[in-house]
Amino acid sequence: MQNIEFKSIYTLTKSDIDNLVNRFGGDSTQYLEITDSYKNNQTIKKYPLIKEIQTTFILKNVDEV
Amino acid sequence: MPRIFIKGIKGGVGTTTVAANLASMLKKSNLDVLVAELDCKNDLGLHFGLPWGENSGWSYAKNFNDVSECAFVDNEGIVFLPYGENSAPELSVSSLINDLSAYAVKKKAWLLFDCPANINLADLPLNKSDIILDLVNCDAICHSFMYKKLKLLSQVKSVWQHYFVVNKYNSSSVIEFDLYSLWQSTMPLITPFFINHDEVIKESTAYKNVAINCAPYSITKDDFETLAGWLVSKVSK
Ligand SMILES: Nc1ncnc2c1ncn2[C@@H]1O[C@H](COP(=O)(O)OP(=O)(O)O)[C@@H](O)[C@H]1O
Ligand SMILES: [Mg+2]
Repeated sequence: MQNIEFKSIYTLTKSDIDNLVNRFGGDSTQYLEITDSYKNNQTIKKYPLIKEIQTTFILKNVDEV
Repeated sequence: MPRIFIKGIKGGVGTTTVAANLASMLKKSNLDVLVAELDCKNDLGLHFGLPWGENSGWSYAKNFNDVSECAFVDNEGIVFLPYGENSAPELSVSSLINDLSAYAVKKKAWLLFDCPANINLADLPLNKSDIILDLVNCDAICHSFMYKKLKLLSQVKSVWQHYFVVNKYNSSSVIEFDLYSLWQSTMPLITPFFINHDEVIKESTAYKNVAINCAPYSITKDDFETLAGWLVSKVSK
């Protein structure tokens, strides 16, 4: 049996994500147009799983969404 | 000849339903449409009025001639190709995709694929003009899968167009509203619209038809008009 503990870190940097959008997003430009950072942060903090994904997955943390 | 691959980020998010309604909407816009089912669940035909007991499909085919024998045409003129009930198809999915593409080019038809959630896109003969609609529902598990998918996409060698489309959106749910708002401003590759949850969809299936036929003045009809229009604009670029 294993303890529930943190094992591997997935990371996607801001530039990884920009690359993704360029490669897979056709000519779309809608990404990150309207951002209410305060509200987003509230949502992320509200739900533990969302918060965990945010902090595990993306180097930029909660305050920089 | 556009190729649209519709898949779910997990099972049950509405892939087959969206494939059928989108096909019908495109057909209503006078585009020729061929929908092929790549999911062995074999339920696509029910949306187009196929008799419940009909179990033929491309999974029994030995070559492309056999495949064309398995296709049906619905009342509106949509050509659809059921999977059938053979659990060990002889034809590979990739060769089916290639053969159907050649056919669709000749007919100048849109090619839609109803894909299983676990399909491995990197194994398929995809190119830059192919559009993948990765359907999601507004829940935390989909949120988790979307980030895992982004990680996966950052590692694949080939290229296609990949979009997350929210289906079954219920705006009166707090968690759905929260997640959708978050996704709209932070989730890469999400489309700028969603498909609402609508009872009309389930009712229409019970009538063996698609919602946009059964309920021409519904929210669902508007939603599929938006999706189809967005695809047309993507494809014409
Ligand atoms: N927008 C929607 N509103 C309401 N019900 C929906 C919607 N989309 C799909 N459904 C329902 O969800 C269930 C699963 O749909 P289905 O298309 O079979 O999913 P999948 O192909 O991903 O397994 C069905 O009962 C279908 O009627
Ligand atoms: Mg299905």
